[in-house]
Amino acid sequence: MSHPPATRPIATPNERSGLKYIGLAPVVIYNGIFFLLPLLFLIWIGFWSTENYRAIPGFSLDNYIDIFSQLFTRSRYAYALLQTAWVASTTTILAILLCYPFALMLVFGVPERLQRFAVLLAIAPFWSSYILRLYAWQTILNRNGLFNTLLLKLQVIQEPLPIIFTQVATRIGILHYLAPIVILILYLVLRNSDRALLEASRNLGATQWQTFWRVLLPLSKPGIIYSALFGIIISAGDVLSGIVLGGGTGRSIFGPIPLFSTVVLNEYAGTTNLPRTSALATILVILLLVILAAGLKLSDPPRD
Amino acid sequence: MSQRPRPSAGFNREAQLLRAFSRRRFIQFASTASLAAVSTRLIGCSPSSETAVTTGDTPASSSGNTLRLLTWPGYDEPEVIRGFEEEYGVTVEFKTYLGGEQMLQFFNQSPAGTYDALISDGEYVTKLMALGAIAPIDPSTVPNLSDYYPVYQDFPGFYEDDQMMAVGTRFGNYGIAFNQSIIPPSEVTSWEFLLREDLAGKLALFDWYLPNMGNASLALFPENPNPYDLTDAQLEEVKAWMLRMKPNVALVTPSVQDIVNAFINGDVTAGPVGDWVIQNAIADGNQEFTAIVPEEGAIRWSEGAAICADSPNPELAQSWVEYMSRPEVQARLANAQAYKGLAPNVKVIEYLNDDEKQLLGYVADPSDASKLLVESQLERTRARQLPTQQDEKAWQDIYNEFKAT
Repeated sequence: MSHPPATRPIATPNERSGLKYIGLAPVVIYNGIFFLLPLLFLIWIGFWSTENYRAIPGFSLDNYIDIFSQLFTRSRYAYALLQTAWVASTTTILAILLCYPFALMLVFGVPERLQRFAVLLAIAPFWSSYILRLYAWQTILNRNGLFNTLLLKLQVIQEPLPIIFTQVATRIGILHYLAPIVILILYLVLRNSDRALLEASRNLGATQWQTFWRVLLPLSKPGIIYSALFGIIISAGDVLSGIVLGGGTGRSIFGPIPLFSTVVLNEYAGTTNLPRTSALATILVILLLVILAAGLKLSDPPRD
Repeated sequence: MSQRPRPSAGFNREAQLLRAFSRRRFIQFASTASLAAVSTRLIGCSPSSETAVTTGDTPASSSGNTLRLLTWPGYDEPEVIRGFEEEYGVTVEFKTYLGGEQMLQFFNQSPAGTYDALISDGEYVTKLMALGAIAPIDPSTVPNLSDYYPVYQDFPGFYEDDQMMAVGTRFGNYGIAFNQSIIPPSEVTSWEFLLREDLAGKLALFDWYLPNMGNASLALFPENPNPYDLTDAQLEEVKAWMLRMKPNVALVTPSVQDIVNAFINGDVTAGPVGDWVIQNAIADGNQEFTAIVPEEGAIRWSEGAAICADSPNPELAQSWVEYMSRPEVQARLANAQAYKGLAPNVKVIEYLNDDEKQLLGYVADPSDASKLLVESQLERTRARQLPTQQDEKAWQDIYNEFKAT
């Protein structure tokens, strides 16, 4: 049984046809209203100032000058960015390492007629609220929680493991959020990979491992890159797991330093200085856009 | 912290799920949901207040038989407000906030006249004055003031020059709360306790620079009448003290319920959060928790009722301020489900049952039987204020550094 590679439409519209503008319009309008406009507004407010606790429109670089002057001293924003980079990248790698075998199993191990149901089960966590899931994890991970109680009962450990209020706990929360997304992306890419190529590889004498390593894995590269993009962007932007599970200043190998998203949220909650917080948020958004652009560039098929 | 169990738009499904949970669980959810709302606002950058968690919607104006209030949680609980609604035949609508900065933000982002009255912490009265937000109150319209503790009869935080701007409704302190089944109370007497090495990763902090730095200031300079009046050199010492405490800090959160959870789950052992944060847990039977005011003193918070300058119903707003000064009302507010507090009105003790007296501290002080615990705590605590010698940002920067170190 062979499937046509369905990652690209069989027929693409003529590049010179005016129809493409109509086809693109909904995407452009949707992104314009719900992504670009708010983003531009956010960037714009970053140049405002405050007076008597009100945001005053204007153009001043003071917020950015102040923020960049505190990268390594006082508020130490660079350290929070470093913590974010560390937590986001490791969470993403973990997500892909855990979800790739899962997606492989879904595509090649589950009978065709059960696959939709299996995918539905895989994304089931999305049916419940993220916040509730984080609190559920809190009851599992805390000092007297399910996990520690179990390990103590089994005599694997003598003292409860300090997991809650560390970045390990933060990662677990984000991972739970991220896994269904990554599984879905990898499932679609693996399912649409050209089976004829896999069969050809086997017919030419390659072992299963060689077929996976030299055929299937390269074919699923776009899926891995998209998963990585989602992973980084969601992990770096998420604020709740770092607070509910990470304790707001969760410990990692870099020390008890908050994530940058937590810093942005807390600055806003503590000062309601919208312009300054917007400038901080803009820095995060720009970093994420750079990562997004790099990822999209990487996932571009080579043109010849 | 608190939300009346009336699901607001967007949280309906969660509310259904939460019916299976206790109210405490719901409060916990609501406090985080408010964080989510703030974070959504950050990214979306919408200046409207629509996304914020609220106990009611916010119509542009209120009619003569509706009073619209902006308050901390607790004031909206039926036991507190029902009497007013029945007495005056009106409906009271609430928007609750968590933190003075959020209160200012909600107020600022609503059209003039949205709120008739509000609850402000002492140090925010000045900020509200700067916005022209609140109107003076004639003390003669609040006869219960004569029953207040002297401190709250003419509390400087509620005055602008000689003009009264707010009437005290509730107060509490940020002393040391701790688990006495792990640490004997005899070892918890001074702020130095928070620096103990065996407490590494065992402290919970309420995420706000004012109480934490104020307490650090008291720890270092207990004789200073105003802990927020520090020279630059003294401020550096406060910073160093905070940084010494940092290795012990596991949790820094604005959510009261997250702190309570961490205590109950055994994830933290102590914290400079005060009794009001853990009294709900004690009331639920967790007798291992207690709180003290260290020998150097502790920072005290003070909530007061104020009338909005643009209120469409100033007379009704005035009546609510008077209502909130009554001992029977303050007794219910002190024992609110959202969080506990103490009452500025001395006569409140007549309206508390024995359990409430025990829980809230309306019992004889073990170290001085001539006083109630409440009274000796009031004497030994210092009002939370704004920094006087430096601007707020200088203090906030230090606090940010403390968190990021």
